Amino acid sequence: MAPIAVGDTIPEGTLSYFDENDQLQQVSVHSLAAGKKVIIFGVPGAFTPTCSLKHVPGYVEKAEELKSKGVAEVICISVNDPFVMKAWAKTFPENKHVKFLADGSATYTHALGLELNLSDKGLGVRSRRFAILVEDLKVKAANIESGGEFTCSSADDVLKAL
Amino acid sequence: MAPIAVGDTIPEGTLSYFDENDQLQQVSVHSLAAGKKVIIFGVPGAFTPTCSLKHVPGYVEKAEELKSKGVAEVICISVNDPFVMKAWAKTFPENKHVKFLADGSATYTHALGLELNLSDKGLGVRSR
Repeated sequence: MAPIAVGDTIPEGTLSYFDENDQLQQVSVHSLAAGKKVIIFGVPGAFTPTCSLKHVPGYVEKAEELKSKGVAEVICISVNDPFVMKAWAKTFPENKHVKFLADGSATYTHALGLELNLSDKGLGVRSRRFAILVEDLKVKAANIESGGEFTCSSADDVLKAL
Repeated sequence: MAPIAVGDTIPEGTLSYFDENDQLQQVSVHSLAAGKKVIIFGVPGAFTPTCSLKHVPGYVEKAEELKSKGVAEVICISVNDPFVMKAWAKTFPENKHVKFLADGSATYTHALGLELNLSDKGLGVRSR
């Protein structure tokens, strides 16, 4: 699958998470994003250094600013199970708006064409690092990193597109 | 593969972990276990309730007692990556002896014949 690009309609898919009552929930991506402006950013792995120390914190800090510019949802996805995503989300206690959703079998990542094979690092198939701005299911900006860099997918980069 | 059983020789395999300097290390199971008495316990998933609240704490608490009876290593393995295992191990600050080793691709779990398919729960292939 070719990587998602500006002008594409984001695919439908299901992501999972544990709610405030620790119940496992499945959520449809289209139900979160239809009729709204949302940001979906992907990380190679929960608890990995760049993701934890740089990529996520930027979105946690800038969430209010993003919301003030009309962004309804800021969604972080990773190919990890929902137990791991829940534990990882707890390491950002100041987070108010970023939703941490699990793409445990990489199905949605595959539908976006954004898989990254990190088997040689013992991680299996993961997501490339990326950030997309989506308005009513249409991709308006697609910032996708090649390899392990962190050059275009930060919250600051996405703010520029708003 | 039939599940490992009494009398079998454990298979060789490689597990991974981050050392005290945060360097990724691979370790051979046979190198940890040859000539010694060891315990290997497997869990379906890091950060899952039973694993975190019941299974691992028992081993953390009893590690000294196990060592006093001649157990050289107490090894916890799970089908998770080493980043996740490192973070999970940190949630047991009182732990002195249990080693948390990652079987990221379920290779060793498969060699032991102890896989469990938890795909319907969104976890994929894990360890029994």
